[in-house]
Amino acid sequence: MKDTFTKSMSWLHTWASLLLGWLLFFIFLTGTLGYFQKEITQWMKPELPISVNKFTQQELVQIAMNHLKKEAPSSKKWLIKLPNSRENILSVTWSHVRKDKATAMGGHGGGRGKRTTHIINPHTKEIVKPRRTGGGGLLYRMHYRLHYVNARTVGRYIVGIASMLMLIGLITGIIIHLRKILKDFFTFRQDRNLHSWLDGHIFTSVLALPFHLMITYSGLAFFVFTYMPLTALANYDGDMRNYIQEAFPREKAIKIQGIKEPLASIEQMRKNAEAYFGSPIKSISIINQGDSSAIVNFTRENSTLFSSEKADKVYFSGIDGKMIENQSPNRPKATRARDILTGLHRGDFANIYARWLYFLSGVLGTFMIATGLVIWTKKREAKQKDTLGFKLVDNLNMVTIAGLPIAVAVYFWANRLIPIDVPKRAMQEADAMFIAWLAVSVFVFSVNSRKMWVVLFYLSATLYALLPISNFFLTGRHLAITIAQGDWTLVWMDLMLFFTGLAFWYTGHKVQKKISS
Amino acid sequence: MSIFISGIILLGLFFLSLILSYPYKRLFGVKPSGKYTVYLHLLGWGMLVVGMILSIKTYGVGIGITYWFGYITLMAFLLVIGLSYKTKKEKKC
Amino acid sequence: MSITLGNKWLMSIRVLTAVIIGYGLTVLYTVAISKTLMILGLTKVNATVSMQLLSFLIYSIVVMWVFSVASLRKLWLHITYSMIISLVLIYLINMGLQ
Repeated sequence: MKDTFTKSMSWLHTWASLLLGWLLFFIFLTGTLGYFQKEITQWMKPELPISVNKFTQQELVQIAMNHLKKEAPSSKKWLIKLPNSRENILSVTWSHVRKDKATAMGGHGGGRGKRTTHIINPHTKEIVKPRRTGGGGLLYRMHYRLHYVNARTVGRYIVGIASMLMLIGLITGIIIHLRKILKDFFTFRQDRNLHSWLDGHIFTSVLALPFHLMITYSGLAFFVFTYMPLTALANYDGDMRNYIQEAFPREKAIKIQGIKEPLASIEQMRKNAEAYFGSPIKSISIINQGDSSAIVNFTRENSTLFSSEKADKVYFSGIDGKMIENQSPNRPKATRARDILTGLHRGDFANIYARWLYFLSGVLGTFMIATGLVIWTKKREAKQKDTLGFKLVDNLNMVTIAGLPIAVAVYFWANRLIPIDVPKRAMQEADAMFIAWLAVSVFVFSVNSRKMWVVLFYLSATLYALLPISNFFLTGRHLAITIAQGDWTLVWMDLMLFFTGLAFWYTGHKVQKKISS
Repeated sequence: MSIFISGIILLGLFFLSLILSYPYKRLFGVKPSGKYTVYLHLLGWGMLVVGMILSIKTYGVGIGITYWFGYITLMAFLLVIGLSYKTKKEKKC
Repeated sequence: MSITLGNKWLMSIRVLTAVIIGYGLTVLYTVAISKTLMILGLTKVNATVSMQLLSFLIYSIVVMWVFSVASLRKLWLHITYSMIISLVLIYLINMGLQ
């Protein structure tokens, strides 16, 4: 079709990337925010008690256990989540398990009875009821579930197609620049024409290339069973169930014996678990509580990535408090390979520095997509400026690149402004986000001018920069208090929001100069 | 240790960048003679490999390689920003 | 960038080929290779899951190949060949495994 291989790859790079480029921008932006989803959630629930971290784990476990003994003495399943470096929340969850159903060692299954979660303020030992919000978790889930797509598989397929196009875009991009990759990389010209856009695109691509490849491929690996079912069906003669059982063997189930016995000292087990991990505990779950078959299971704060998944959990017999081995079957090696890929994607193992690096790489990926989309218009500006296709792409670029950050800011504002006791509050926050995005697109398409870039960037700047200031009036969790109390999660959130505002102001300023010149 | 690894990787990337005429000219005002290209290659890649070994020794194989990529990303980011900043300053003079 | 589309018809045929036939080819390849791996001693579940994981790479290569072959006729000929070869391979291995 094209004269040379490189040229046809260049064609493919252009069109495969453009096709769902805007969706990819959405996926990358919300996914990048997902690396700080717990911090965002914390910020979005200002009712949570401050400086919970001042308590020792021993005290916190004691408070949680007392609460559970008082509230749910007959429940068979207890879960305690302890505050950690990322989350400032002490919470307990219990559920009533049907007698005939067995719970797996890891705490899954057991006929999901009614689950109740209480967040406890360790200062007063009272229950805290924060405002209902989707928090950072909702933003994170959007990047693979696409908020309004109800059927999960449909969302997965759409995101999967986008990821495939991204992968092709990356590989063709590498092929185009293979020879000059090093040269192009260190050449970052800051002039005002197409060259600077190209340099920016190449810079952001090559700089985090391992990340881009890893994140795209591992993203596909998450739902490999949804995307490639035919391979499994062919090898298993159409028996999908058998395949799932072999690929993901179930954890060993623990049956309730029906003999009442009290729990051994949790504190002793906690000490042993801490010594075993060499790091603090993240959560404790007690299975078959009050029964002679009780098992207590601890997870560590920073999960490991490359050792077996069992290394992140340790089990104790609830009766004599002795450490016991997990007798669940091992996952097959290939499934473990997938787990490592998905683990790399989620970055659960990452400490705070690695998390920032993940965030930076995600931002670079978002910039890569944005610059790529802009380059498409820059290249065609001279010849096709008045064609319908060009106008469409140009406006969609504005709506997505400058508009989506506004929508996210509106999501944060909605969290502050929607009254606390409104029904379906969490849904309304998300609705506000997408209504804002819709409004931006109507606005952009009706004005139909490049000047909208500047307007939108300044609007973003205002919305973000005012968020930390709004805390002085709306929540009382403002910088003066959070710094004094040493709640660094909230301090960083406020600072980052303010810096984001500044960055948008700077961008708007730059674009304004460029357009007027 | 992490500062040490970052330093080594930054230095390695710096040597590699000197192979190219664009940053070289910006820094020294003349085009590179090409005489030292081989040594720069050896030095640059060598230091990246040393950085990788140190990273693996510190963090273990899996996480070590992951962090190594991370270090390179971060250091290259700083280096390219630094180089382009220098360029901008010179243009103004 | 007015691509030498030939015309829009040929281009859409190529896109459809890449997306649909490309996916079919990928499935065939992964099945054929995983069956070969099973003969070489890998367990069924490991062979299946690893080929599923590699399938995205195979798919992208197939798509890139579809867009790089110059003539459509040659492209279709190659596709038919590789389909027959992998089907025969799968059939033979199935016979052998039984």
